[in-house]
Amino acid sequence: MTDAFQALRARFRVRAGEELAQLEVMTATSSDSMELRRLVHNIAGAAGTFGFPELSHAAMAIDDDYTAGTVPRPEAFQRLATALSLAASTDEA
Amino acid sequence: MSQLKILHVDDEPDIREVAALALAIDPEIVVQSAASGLEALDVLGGGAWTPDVILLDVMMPELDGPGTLQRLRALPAHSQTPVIFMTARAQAPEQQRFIDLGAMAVIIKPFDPMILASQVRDILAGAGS
Repeated sequence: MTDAFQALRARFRVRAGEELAQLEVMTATSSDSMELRRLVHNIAGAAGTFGFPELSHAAMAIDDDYTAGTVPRPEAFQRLATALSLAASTDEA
Repeated sequence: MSQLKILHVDDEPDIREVAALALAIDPEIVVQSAASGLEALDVLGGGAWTPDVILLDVMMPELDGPGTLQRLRALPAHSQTPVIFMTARAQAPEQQRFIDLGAMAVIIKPFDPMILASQVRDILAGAGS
């Protein structure tokens, strides 16, 4: 499973870069849209599986805010953006 | 261990692939994947392949997990097929809501690929004991 998993993890890292760009576009207009909620929820659910716990935790914090009916603070999105950037730039060569 | 046929439903391709890899750790598990609730209903409605258990993502576009479960239960052949929801960080009341809807259990995402297969078997064994 290891080689196949590493290939999927590499693909996830590419996706993290794409999701960072999506996050920046989405949060520029709203902190609470269905697209943004889905993006955050998916990151929360997937990142830990691919070995990025901080990214998962950052997304979970925002997901929890949505679940509680609270608009997430800008700092929470900044934490998520940083974690996405780190995941995307992780050098595993 | 006995053969176990699993239908895994998730809109994220990477998650479908890693789940298929993870479940394949158990050589007796046969996995089929579906990319949406509607695709899952097509697979199940066709009747050509009948899973022993369905792993169903909650948050999916078009038709979400609970909506898929509701329509699944209207299919006579699948009115009792065990369904396990998979979702990110569901809190206890939400997990209970999923159980009340008819799910057998909830697996919290992110899941650990190394134990997913045994988690599913343990849930099914617990339900049968």
